[in-house]
Amino acid sequence: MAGRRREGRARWSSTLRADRWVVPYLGRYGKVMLAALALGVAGSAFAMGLMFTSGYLVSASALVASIIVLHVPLACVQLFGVGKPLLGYGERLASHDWVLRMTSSLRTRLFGAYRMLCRQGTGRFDAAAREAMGFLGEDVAHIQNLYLRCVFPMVVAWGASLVALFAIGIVSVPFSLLMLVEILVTAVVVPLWSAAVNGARIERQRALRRERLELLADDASAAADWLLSGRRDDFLARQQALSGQERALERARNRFDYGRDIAQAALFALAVAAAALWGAAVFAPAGAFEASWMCAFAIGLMPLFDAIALLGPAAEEAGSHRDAILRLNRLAEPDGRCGGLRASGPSTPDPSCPLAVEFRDVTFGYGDASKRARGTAVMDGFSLAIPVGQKVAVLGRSGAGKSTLVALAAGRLHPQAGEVRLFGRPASRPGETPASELVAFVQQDAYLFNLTLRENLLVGDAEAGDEALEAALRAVGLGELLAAMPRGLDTPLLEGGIRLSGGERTRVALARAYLRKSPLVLLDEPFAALDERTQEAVTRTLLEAFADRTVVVVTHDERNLGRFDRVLVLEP
Amino acid sequence: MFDGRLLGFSGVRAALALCCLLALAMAAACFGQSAALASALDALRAGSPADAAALPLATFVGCLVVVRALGCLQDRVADARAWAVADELRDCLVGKLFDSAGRVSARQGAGAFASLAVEGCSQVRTYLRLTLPRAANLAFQMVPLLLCVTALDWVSGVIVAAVVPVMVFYLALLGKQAKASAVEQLSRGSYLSGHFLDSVHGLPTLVAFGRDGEWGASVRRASERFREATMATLKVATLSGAVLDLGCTLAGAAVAVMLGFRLVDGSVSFLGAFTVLLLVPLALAPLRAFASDFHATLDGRESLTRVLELVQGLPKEPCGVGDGGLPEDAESGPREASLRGCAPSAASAGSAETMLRCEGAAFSRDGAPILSDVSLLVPRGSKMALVGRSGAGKSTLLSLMAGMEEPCAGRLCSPAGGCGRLAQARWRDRVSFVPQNAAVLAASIRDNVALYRPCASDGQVRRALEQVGLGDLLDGLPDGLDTVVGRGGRALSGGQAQRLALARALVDPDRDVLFLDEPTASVDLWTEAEMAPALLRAMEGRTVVMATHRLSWLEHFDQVVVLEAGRVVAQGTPGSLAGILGGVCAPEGLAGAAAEHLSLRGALEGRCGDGRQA
Repeated sequence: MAGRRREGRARWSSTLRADRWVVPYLGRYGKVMLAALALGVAGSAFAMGLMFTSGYLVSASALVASIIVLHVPLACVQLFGVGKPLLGYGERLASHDWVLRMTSSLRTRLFGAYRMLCRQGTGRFDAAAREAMGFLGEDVAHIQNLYLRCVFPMVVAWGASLVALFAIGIVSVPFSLLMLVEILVTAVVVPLWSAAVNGARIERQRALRRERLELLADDASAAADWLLSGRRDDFLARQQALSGQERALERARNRFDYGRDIAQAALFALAVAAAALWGAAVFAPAGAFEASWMCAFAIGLMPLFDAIALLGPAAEEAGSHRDAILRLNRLAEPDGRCGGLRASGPSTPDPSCPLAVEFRDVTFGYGDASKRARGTAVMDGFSLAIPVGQKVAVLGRSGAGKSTLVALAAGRLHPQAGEVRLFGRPASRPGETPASELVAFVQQDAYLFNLTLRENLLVGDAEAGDEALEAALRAVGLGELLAAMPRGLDTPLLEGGIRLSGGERTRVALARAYLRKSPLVLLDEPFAALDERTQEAVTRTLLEAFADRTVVVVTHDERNLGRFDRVLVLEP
Repeated sequence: MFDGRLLGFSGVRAALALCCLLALAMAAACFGQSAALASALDALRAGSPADAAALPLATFVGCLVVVRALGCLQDRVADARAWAVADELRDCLVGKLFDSAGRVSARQGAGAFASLAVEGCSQVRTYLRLTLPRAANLAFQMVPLLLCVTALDWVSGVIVAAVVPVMVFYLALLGKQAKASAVEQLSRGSYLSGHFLDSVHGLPTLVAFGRDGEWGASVRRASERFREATMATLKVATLSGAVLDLGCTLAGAAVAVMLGFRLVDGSVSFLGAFTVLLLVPLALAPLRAFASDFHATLDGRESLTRVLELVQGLPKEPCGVGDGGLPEDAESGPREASLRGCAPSAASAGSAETMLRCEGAAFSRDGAPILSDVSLLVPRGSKMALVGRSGAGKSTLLSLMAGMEEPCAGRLCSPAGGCGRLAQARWRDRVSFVPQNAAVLAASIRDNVALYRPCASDGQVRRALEQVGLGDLLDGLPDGLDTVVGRGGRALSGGQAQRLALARALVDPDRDVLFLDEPTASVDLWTEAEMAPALLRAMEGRTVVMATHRLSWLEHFDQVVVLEAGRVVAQGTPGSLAGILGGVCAPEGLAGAAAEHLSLRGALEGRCGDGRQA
């Protein structure tokens, strides 16, 4: 048990030491944070004040002839009674505002980090970012919860404890120290202990849950094979086994929680009893009226204990947020600032050159040049010329280098030797990832944003007017779709029930490229996800819409090759 | 307030009754706790020695611990029942997934289905675990405690009792409002936090168009807009909680003030008054707990609805209008006699043994007819090719023939298994199926290959893998047959996955009927060429039905069936149909285009200077 606890603590401390995504944000928006904390502590103090003055009032009024004598406690009861819920409301709003401000900066920074990764080349973006990307939304939510449900209540409870200890300390320092021990045990030691014991269980449970999800998603896609196998019980058992493990973990967790809660309840009860006895010793000798303070102190701490009792579960939960922090920190943040990258590359064609794309003795390979053996290069002394206006299909088995060819032509990769020229100009300069105006690049399953049709098209040309957008849509065969859209160009693409078919999505991507007006259009397997009939129709549209441009398409679709001027089959 | 659907699950009523009993016991302990502390303080303030207060204080500590322990017990009862219910629901869903060959998950996708069956059932569990004790405490802890308060001091009773209905009313009203605004905020939240994810996913596209710089600013703006929208809704959404807090706190304060007045005029004793003061927060605690967990249970309620929809849903599709299928009652009446030919006893009639007979089969999905009046005869050992444009119904016909779906009219009969629903299961034992994109289970290679025949020996599995040309892959794996593939394991290429599915079919000699749904459609030409020998080997000695669009495959088949818009339009040998097939099937490979073969290493072509190439 001790070993596990140490391990838990060590993992947390190393996690936080190496952290770049959570701790640095604590201090940001300090004013809002302090306001939220102050409201929280004041709310807890008011709750204690209400119990304290109520106890005093009830006890004292049994002994006085007129209630007027007790106008101060009466007023306090009313003040605390009204003030506490209002402070609580303010605290909730302020703390949420702070957390949302913070995640707002966090998101912006995350986007910048991903942007840099993406700019540094397609390969790196895929490898480093894909894994974390699936968790990104969840991770940001985790960090919000870590603050709102773990860090914040803990700090507030500690602050309220200080207020209470100070109030007791005015009367008796020794008793204040005794309560300090009680609070240290219940508000610091117990939560840490809970986090160490049950945090690991929660993490394990989350991992199991994810495993179940993936297994079931897999089995759902393989359900037809399972049905043929006739092994229904085995199929159910795959889920049952993991669920059983999860249940066992939760049982163990609950057992710990029950024990902890009961022990903590006993500690609180003993503290109340101690306060009563201490109060009796201090105040009762001075007479029954003075003894009202005893009643006040005995029950005044109860709301504090209620707040502290919630810290154990909160600390346990913190463990489940650790993964998120680790994942964010694993995300390599490249050096340099996002703003430093400018779109560059050639912008005007050389009218005297009849070639749109030209590879001259190009050598290219991925990875570190010094470690790479010469034989492993994807391209070695490769040359190719594509005249202006030609429509070229590029085929080849997977791994043959089709995507590399297109990325080099787009200037997104820079050759190690030789030269790639676009319309007689160099396509790229070393160390830069230009977005040349001469090239429109449509990737494999081009991305459509969950925005309006207009915003999606403007990705191609930010300045395009409505007429240009409509013309582009007509050119790619989406004129009818536009007419059918309830709000025209302002129709959200993926909301409001308007779902585009695969073919329509590809056409929107083509419309973007059309809007870009660049003389060279490069497409990397744009039709991979389409059925054969749609492939044929979209290929026809593509060649018609871009009749006056140079087009290079990487494709697997061998049925429509006859429509191209030229078919290149790459052989590694 | 209590979801009646929950009572329908086995054991929930008993668990609820137990929770109610425990709640009653908690109420008693709460009263004991308050009375004990009040009497201890009463004794101490009267100047009695500490010894006199020892017993009541000990009682106070004891009662408080008992209350806590009873609460834990209640949680345990509810938790055990909640697990049982969630497991039952999950088994139901997963069973449904199995029985429907995955169609139950087709509409929302495998991932969404999995998340409903795992996360959704877990939310239902949380819902049940929270609701049972909360509802029990509301009725059997709060009410008795309020009665105690009233008995001790009727004025306090009136104050608190006045708060409760107002609170419940507020709760219902604001709960509804908070639900509406929470839903709105949630949809907005998911939209805007979606905008962030959306932007990250679309980054390669943005970079390709050089628009990523401006987009960063829009992410920030969207995030700020989200914060403002959330704050606006939070102001309303947290109001219900704040009002409840206000009501409960004010009730406590009012009770304290009124007790003060009544103590001054001597109408209550200190002991009674202090007991009431301590009891009021305890009495209102179940109400607070219920309110604070209210939002947490909304998810569970919603999940329960969706799970139940899926569990009860998926009725058999009726045939769409206008199809030529047989009427639904075809299974009875005079036809029965003629169909008896399907029964094993009569199967020996005729020399060419029939493997499968399709009689007027029709099928609809979402009301749209996909197949109508398809009648086919598949003789034992024959090789039949299904050709037709995409959408002609090839895949649907294959899954009907493989027994994975039922026709909405007509029937499929096999001499070995007979006709009808029960026969399907027996028929499926003889069938293997290779789809366009074969599924790879997240399991070892052995388990993947031995899916149809878990008892297969390593030697058999290895032999099957060698037959489909995966022997080299296997030899290169350090863990051999134990290598885990699929998600989270070693990734397989499309061609490898297809061959793995073929090996699955080969490992079980009892499965002598092979259905292939364009097994090479998802791989490139080169991979297809590599796969061909394995496919042909798998076809040897089996009855085969294969959907394809490649002319080159047809030479290996003795029958071709041409489908168009869900109907059989032609049937015959490949030779006899040569005239039609050209229009339906794709030209071969790279034929039809003059292809240039380029080597990326060392090919030399024209330069800008020396002009026109190709």
